[in-house]
Amino acid sequence: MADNTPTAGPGNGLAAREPILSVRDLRVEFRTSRGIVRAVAGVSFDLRPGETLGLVGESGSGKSVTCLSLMRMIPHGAGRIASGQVILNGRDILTIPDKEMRTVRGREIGMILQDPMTSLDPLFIVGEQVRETLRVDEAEGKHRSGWDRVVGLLEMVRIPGAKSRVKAYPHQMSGGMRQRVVAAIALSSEPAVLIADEPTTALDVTIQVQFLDLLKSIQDERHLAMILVTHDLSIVARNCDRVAVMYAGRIVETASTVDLFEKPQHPYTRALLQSVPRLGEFPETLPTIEGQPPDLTNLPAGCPFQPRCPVAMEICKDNPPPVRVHGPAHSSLCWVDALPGEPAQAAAQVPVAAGEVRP
Amino acid sequence: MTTAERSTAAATEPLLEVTNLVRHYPVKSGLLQRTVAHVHAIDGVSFSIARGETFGLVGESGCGKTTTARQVLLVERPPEGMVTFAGRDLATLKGRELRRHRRDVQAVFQDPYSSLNPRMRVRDILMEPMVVHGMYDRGRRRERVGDLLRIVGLNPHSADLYPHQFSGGQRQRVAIARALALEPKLIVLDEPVSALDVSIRAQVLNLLRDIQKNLGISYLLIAHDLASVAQASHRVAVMYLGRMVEMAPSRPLVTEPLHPYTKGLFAAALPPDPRLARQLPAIQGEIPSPINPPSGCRFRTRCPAVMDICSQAAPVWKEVKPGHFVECHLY
Repeated sequence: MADNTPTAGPGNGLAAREPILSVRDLRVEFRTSRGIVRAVAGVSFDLRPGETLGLVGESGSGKSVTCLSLMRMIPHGAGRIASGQVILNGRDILTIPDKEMRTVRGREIGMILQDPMTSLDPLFIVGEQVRETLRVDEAEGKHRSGWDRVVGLLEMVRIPGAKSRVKAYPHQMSGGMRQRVVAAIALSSEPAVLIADEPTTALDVTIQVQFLDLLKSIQDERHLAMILVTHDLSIVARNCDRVAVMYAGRIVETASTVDLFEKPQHPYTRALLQSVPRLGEFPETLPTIEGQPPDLTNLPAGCPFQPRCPVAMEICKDNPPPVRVHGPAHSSLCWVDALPGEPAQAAAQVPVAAGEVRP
Repeated sequence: MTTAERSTAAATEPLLEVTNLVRHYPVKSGLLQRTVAHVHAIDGVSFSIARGETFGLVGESGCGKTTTARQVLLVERPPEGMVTFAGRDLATLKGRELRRHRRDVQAVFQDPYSSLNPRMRVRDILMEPMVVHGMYDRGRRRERVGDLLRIVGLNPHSADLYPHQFSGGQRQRVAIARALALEPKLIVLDEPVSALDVSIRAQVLNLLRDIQKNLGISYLLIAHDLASVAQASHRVAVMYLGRMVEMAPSRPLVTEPLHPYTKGLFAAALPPDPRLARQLPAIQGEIPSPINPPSGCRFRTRCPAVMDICSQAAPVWKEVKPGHFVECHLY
């Protein structure tokens, strides 16, 4: 059991804590000229204070759309949340009025996006951009604004010489420092949940690690619940307590980080882990996942990974895979690897423990 | 620094030889656009690439890896230092010889979404370089389109499609096919897989390796991802702020890295293993500005093993073990 909890980070001993965010059977659709794209096709997970959930997947897997749905920021007209619940602090934020949702964004859920150059306005000094978010709060009488607080926020994200850097324009800062400003803005209203969507992809490798470590220490101080979206399994290994692997809009496997890396169950997770290049290994041919990423307008009736799956069976073609439970917080969505002697349908009906991630 | 070339040149005549290349870009300011400073993009870089060899260049932004590629591709003429390709000095190439060089050296770039013209069919994308260089007759060009698509693992029928009808990985295959159209001797691969999904990267790297085996092409592979560069290259050089700090065959570079920066890059190339990944320390500090690089050793401001001498004298490029070069006061 001890092995099931990650060895580091605030995830330890959190199993009993109530989730702050529960997503249930979320479905998001986009209308395109080639038909309806089900970008998110039934995603459920829980997030507890102080823990980091990694959402891993390739482009088109639905990880970013899932995050945008949590903020209700799916572009109008093109897409819509078809069904599901997003329960934050006990209420379903998919049903609250738009005006109320505006206070949820920023105040209860903060967000950091990939490219700090596009998140920041190039025409304003960074201090002004941090203060702007504080003003929105001030109108509601929550904080007194002012440069002291702006400087304090930049110090929190460890920008050296914060006092003088408040007057810098975004282009006068390095990528790593810009992303820290974005983090300061996202955290300025002290949200309980932080969504970081590929926060380090645009940064240099040595700066990536620095930024991830910064997020981790802020998280520890504030007991922040975090969703870390990434395509990079190495980042998951360093920073996440639990992982959900997404493919074609579904969570195909979820587990504690250590379990996922040491006992991967889904054929896609295994293939993904094998395709990460490891330093010091020199294989004759690199392990690959054959075929192309799925076409979301034209998915097979059964398992979406079946056309590329090395162990696909006849049943996978036409029948959606069942949920398989491999351990207390470890499950996958697959026909293969049935526990010996246990029929697939039975496994699918194992009740999901409260607070567990479900594919 | 000439020993660097000699060791590889000994076995076979190098295809590309870069000697003491320097490139500074002026920084202009004010109403009169006076030059107020220089960006030291590359400051004395030397290496060579043999026929059929993959040479990897690794480093973070601003280290000069793309600037180096620009000189090799003759996007710019190197003002200082020497680049020779197949025995020809690139500084003086003109007319036929210059056109010959542009055929012999091709490039594949990072983003297959912006490097292919969205209004052209794949057939025309692949034929254009042959037409421009007047290679082959019409019938042979058509045949070659099919051959090229087969080489990169695409269906010859896809010649009639447009780039948007392909996935990212397939587009990068089209870009590779276009680079192969003129039967080049060297392809500059600038971050060829970083824009692709993890599961597709290995497919493209394997394809590049197969093409090299069959056609004997050389590659200059530029990337920031140490693990995949080491796997795909015969030799690797690590660059930092315009200088080459270490160069070795990829196996010794990975198993016994010498330079503190190389070691730091290794720690940043997090292993996909949660128990290991959490123990690795980060390199501290930011990359200094290349306009005003630190005196002495350029890495000293971030180096965990910094000594007094590092700020006073620039370290010398040394061959520490056969074929393994490093520029550091520790050695």
